[in-house]
Parts: sequence; structure tokens; C-alpha cells
Amino acid sequence: MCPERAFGLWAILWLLLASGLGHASDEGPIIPPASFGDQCVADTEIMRKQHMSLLNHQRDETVIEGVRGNPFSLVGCVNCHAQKDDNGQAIRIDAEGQFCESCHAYAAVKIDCFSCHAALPEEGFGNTHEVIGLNTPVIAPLAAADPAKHFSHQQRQVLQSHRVAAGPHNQLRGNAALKNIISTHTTEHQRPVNSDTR
Amino acid sequence: MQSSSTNNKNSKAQQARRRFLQKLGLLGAAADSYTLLELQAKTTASAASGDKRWGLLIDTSKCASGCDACVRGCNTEHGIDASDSDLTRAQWIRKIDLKDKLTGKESSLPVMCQHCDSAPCVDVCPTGASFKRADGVVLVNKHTCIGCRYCMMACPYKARSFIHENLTEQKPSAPRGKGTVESCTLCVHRIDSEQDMQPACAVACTDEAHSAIVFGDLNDPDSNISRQLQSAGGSQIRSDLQLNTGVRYHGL
Repeated sequence: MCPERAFGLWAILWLLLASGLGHASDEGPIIPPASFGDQCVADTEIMRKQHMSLLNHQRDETVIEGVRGNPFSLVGCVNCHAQKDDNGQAIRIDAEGQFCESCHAYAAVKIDCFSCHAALPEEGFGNTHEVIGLNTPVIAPLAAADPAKHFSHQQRQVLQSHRVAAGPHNQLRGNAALKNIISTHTTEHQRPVNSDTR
Repeated sequence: MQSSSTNNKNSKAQQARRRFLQKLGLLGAAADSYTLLELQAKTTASAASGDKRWGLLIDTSKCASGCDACVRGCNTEHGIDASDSDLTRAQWIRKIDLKDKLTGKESSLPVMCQHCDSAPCVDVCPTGASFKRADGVVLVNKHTCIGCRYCMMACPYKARSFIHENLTEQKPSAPRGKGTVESCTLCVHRIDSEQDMQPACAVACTDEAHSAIVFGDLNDPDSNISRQLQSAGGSQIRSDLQLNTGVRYHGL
């Protein structure tokens, strides 16, 4: 084989490899930033992985028990994360490239919420004092602060797997630990407090 | 002999299993009580309470024939498009005109979900989607509704609607969607959120200066609705069915 030809082949191989590598280092979906506030109701890592279970849990509480005003509401998601177009009109959160859709399209998971739920923010949201509250970390970092207060047992277990630092709450693991937390809770002993969050 | 020893072994195994299950049950019970405590620890909002029983009292002598302010108020509140085809559109409140053939007395009244204490729609629902809240409000949990429409068949008041078409532009406080059944919610999103909030129909009726719809707690003897019921009385539609409705009518 003549050297020019060999070089040509190598070049083609390189091109193929490079384009392949380019796909491998894909950095994921482009998620637009929130329109309001700089602190979500829980850490981003938790919200990314657990938003559906958090939403579902609160959904049942709201629909069946009538508990309203708690942090993990779908209306809350839409209020803060819906973008506005150049004319200041809100864009549906499930429209192409928007907050929900961008990630769901990337993960190939269909969103079923917005066939029934409003995909546009509440009228007048952003003009009220609620938004001011969001600029300070409202319930942040919720899970780390007091998981026993905000989550069901199952959710706490899931959240446990996300906690990197071996804080005192890691005692929650296992049945013995569960019994332990039940007894401390019922006798109202002081529960372990994560010093850096209080 | 051999069989009896096998039986013995079996029963021992069963006993062990029973003990194990009992322990599991205890653990479950402990976990349950923990969940209850957890709910009580909530400070942001409280659950619907069985101490209350929400209801409506409709004074048919004040309700004007031809006025549909309550229907319009309801439609606006819940994003119901009244311009849809008559055959398929949702209808949470109907205005009905009655005439007593004997006396010639005419009356007009709105009919909506009567929020029965023993609701037939709840009885027949195969998925448990049709349910009654602790405070007596009968609702459809649309997350579990499969759209079979048994509840619509069972309801003696024809109070429920089925959504046939895809919807857009729902209100944030009133999620509605194709394939589910819906009916009057007594505006739970309003009455849960703030004290002294009235359902949209009652507000619309008052705005129209009729004040024919009174909303309140039937369990509270001092509430406006209870006092009016006590002094003037109120009947149930189809009282023969003994459903103990939360919506009462005066002057029928």
C-alpha cells in the first residue's frame, strides 16, 4: 500500500473515532434555569432523581387528605421553572426545550402530568411576596435538615442512599435503627441534629 | 406415626411463622404510629378533619329562574368550557326549573354533586378513585380513575361528567383531563387553603345579590348554615334514598 493511501485510511479512521468519542462525551440535556429563586425546595441531586416520588407522595396527601401548601407541588414546579418568551408570555413547561421536556426527551420518558395539570404558571405568580421567600433557602437543604419530619420511611431510605457525608442520620439504616428512631420520636427525646444545617 | 410427626413439625413451623408475622405486624404498627406522628408534626398545612362536614344550603325562594350565575362562576373557577358541544361538555352545576302541577308553584334551583354521606358513586367505584374525604366532600381521585363511568350510572343526581376530549389551558388549581370523571368538588382548593373561603358558586350567587347558596360546616351548630337549617329547615332531593346529602334545599 502506498503511503498516501495508508494516511488517507488512518485519517478516515481517526475521523470516525473522533465522532464516536464526541457522542460518548455528550453532556446531557440543556435544562433552562429557573425563572424565580436560586434555591429549589430540595437539593438538585435529590430533585433530579426523586422528584416523581416526592410529587406522588404529596399528591396523595393533597388529594385524599386535603393537606395543602407543602413544598413538593407540581404547581410550584411550574411557577418557578416555566420560562417566558420574548413578549413576556409564559411558555408551557412541557414545550420543546423547556424545563420538564428537555430532560424527559433526553431520558425518553413520557410526561403524563400535563394532559390534566396546567403547564403554565399561576396567574400573577412572580408579582407576589411568595417569590421573595424563594430567594432565601426556604426548605433548604431539606433532606439533610430533618428527614424524619418531611419524608415517609420509604422516602427516607431512598434519600439515605444520596447522603454522601456520614452524618448522624445514617443511623436510620436497618430495622434496629428504625425501632430506635421510633422510640426516640415517641418519647420525644432529642433527636440527633445535623449541626451544619441548623 | 410418621404422619403425626410430620404434622408436629408442620405445626411448629407454622407457629414460628405466626410469631414471625406477629413481630412483623408489631413493627408495622409501630411504623404506622410513627407516620401519624409525622403528619401531626406538619406545620404548613392541616389535613381535612372529620370534625367538619362541609355542606350547602340552597334557598330556592331566593334562586331566580333564568339566572345561571352559579354555573358561570363554577365554569370560570374550574376552567370548564361551556361553549363545547352539549353532548360532551362537562357540567358540574345544572339549573333546574320545577313546576308543581297541582299548585302551579314554580321554583328554580341549582343541582350539583350532593356530597352524600353514603355515596353510591363511592360504593360502586372499582378502583377507589371515587372517595369521600374526612370532611364529607365527595371527590374523584383522577390519578386512579379509569373512566369506567360506573359512578355516573350510580349517581341518582346525574351530577358527574366524563371528559371526552383532550383539554388544554386547565387552571392550576383545577386539574382536569380526558378519560376521567369529574364533578363538583365543593371548591376544595379554596376551602382548604384559607379560612372563610366560599365555593365559587356561592360567591357568584352573592355577587348577583341573590345569596341563595350558603356554604358552611354542618357539624358546627353555630355556623350560619346550621343556624339557618335549624330555623328554616332544609330538605334533601331524593330523601327516600337516605343518602344523607351534604347539599340541602329550602323551600322545595
